[in-house]
Amino acid sequence: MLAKPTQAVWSQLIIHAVFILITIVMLVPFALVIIISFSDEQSILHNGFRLIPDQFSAKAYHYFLKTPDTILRAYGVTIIVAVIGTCISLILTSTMGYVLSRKDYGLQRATSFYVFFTMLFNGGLVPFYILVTQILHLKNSIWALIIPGLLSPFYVLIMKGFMSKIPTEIIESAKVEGAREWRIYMKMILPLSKPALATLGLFILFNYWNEWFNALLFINNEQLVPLQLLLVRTMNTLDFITSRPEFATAMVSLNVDMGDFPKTSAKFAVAVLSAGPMLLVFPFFQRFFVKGLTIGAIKG
Amino acid sequence: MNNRKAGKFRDKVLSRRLKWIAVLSLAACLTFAAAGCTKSQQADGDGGADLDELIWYYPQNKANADLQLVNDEVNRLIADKVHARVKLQPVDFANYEQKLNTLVAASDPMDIVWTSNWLFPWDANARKGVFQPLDELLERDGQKLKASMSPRFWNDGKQDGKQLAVPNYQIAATRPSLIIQKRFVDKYKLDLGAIRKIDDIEPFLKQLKEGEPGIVPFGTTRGFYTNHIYGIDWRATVYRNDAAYRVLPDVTPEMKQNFALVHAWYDKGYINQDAATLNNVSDVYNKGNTAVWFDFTGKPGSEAEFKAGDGGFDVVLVPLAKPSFTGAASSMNAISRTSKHPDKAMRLLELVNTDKQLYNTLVYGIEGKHYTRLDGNYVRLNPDAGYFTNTDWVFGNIRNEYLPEGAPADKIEQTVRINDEAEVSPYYDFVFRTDDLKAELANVKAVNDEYYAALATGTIDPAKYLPIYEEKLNKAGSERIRAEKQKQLDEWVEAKGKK
Repeated sequence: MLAKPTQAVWSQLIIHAVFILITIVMLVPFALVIIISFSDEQSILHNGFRLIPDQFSAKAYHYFLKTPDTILRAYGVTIIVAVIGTCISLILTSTMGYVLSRKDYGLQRATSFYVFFTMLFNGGLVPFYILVTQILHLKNSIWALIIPGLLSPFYVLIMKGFMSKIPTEIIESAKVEGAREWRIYMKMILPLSKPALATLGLFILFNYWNEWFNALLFINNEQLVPLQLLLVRTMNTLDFITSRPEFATAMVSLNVDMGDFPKTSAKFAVAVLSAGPMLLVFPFFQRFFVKGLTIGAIKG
Repeated sequence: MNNRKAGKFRDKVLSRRLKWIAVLSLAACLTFAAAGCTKSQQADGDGGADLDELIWYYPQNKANADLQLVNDEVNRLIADKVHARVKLQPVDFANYEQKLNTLVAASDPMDIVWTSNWLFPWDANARKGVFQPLDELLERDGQKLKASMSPRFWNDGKQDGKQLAVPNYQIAATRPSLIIQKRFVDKYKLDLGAIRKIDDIEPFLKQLKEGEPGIVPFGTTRGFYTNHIYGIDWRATVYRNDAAYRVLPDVTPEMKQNFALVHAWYDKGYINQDAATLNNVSDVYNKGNTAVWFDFTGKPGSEAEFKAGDGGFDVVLVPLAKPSFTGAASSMNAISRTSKHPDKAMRLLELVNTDKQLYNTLVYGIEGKHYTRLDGNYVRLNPDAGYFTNTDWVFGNIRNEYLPEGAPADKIEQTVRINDEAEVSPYYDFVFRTDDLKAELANVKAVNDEYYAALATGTIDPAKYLPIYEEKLNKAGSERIRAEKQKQLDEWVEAKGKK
């Protein structure tokens, strides 16, 4: 009688220990990034990266947050772009994917190939630039940050793949009950595709969040600079200037004493500043992943 | 049954939510579109709707919050003289080349575009036809600008006999110099006049090593071998007095001698231990504990800049060679071929280069807000006021600038004197075309990345490693590069009729 519970306790202990270890292995790098971003530059240079640095310092953050309104505005731009972009992008991706997944759509093959073709070949940077600035006239507009990322052929194909697994019978039965296409899409397809919508939504959100190159090309107005571009620019400029002897004296102009500018910890501070909000968003989406798995296709 | 009901209910909630999201995003779209409209209307109705707009791209250190204010002030200053507005479009240095390449390839409208021999390279772009020829424009709209610089400056903005860019008048000569902290010069009564070549500083380094614990006698990052101080022309790597025009190999006898000297210094402990691994030139002196260091350019007025960077210690500058004219191509403004108003762009360039108020507005911002005038030509800058470029050389003729506090009073006179004195390389218009040597150049660079810093800072023994370095260079194709250069130089000499 006594042996059984102890055995259970032991096995439970071992299982817990294994999972605790795995959790630690996953958490330590995150913790390290945050700790390094708060470390004193000199102690990093002398001792390497450590979980408990000799000296803490918030200098890196001080440099980036010196002008809080700039960085707050940049956060605002990024959030607006990411939220609007993700919403519209999900609507477009799911409608397109749905149409491609319908076997009774006559041009299914041709359209699929058209979508697929753009994955392999594209016009390149310059035609892209000309399209956005000279045909769409989006220069210096927040739409230049949203529209180019709206539809990714790869995500359309993933969506198509997921939706073609939804049995045609569902659509047919809805038709029999008198539903029009729009209603079928809204009331049947979308709810059934929640897992795919959540996954792609997360990807799309990340893409918008991390995007800075479009902003570099199209945005000259400092008010519309998104967060990532602001951080990339700051780091690039520091790298550029410190690596060129001609600019040795230009540092004075940036109001930074290069002697103790925390270059290494600044890189980690950038990582924290840019990735932090996304870490908070992720668990929210995770809820859908789990739920998505439990929703069966034909049930009840 | 129950289950289905619940499902239906959930769907209803969801579709209602979706509708909300759709409505909200639509509303957001409309607001943004409306905002866009009002903005562009405002820009159009901004006083000078009848004035043409000139777009000027140039690089900057970092974004300035008050750029728009300064831009408005500039527009006010030029309205009557140029009859145009200008739109200043600064781009960060680190992104300038990439962005401008895209804009140029897309034929984006722009009028004035900054270019140089080291960023957004001007000769390649000029060959592609990015810039307009300026000769006629200069005759018609830029007489004053033309007269403001001597031909040695204008020559650097020429290609195939056509003037394609306007050089910005600034220091255009280098004179390799030693920078010495003044406190040690005074303490050891160093005779600066007696220092004519680099070896002459050695006894002083010995004194420092013995008398000043905690002070690094000589600081360096990539050594101090430079052709200038050994009588070798910097453009063609030929001895200055060589009548045979023989192109020298990468490792010259002078280089061997220099490396041996540095290694001896390193062994005696005169040189900072981390010399081969430092990346930033300023790391050498920014702690204030370095007594002597080497500066390749010896720019007039750099004493003040070094003082600001080395912890506040005064320094003296000891030139080791006569200044050589290295060219004005390091900062130029050109007129784009996509410009609709090249004549107005030229007039604006002339004004920037000749009008003191306009030039200083571009460099320092608005008087009273971003800087204040002091006695004479001096100004006190306020770096936190929202506009601070610190790149006077990007805009135009630096002879028109106010001096920031702490700069030597004769900075401009010195610059002019050195530019005029500097020897122009007889090979000034020889251009080494390396299009067919890309692989060799990359290989040679890889070898240099591995060995050069260690050898030039004396960290490793040249007796042992210099032969290895030479052999690796040969394997990488340095001899082929030299032969090609010799061939091109011979052709150049023949074309010039010098042989």
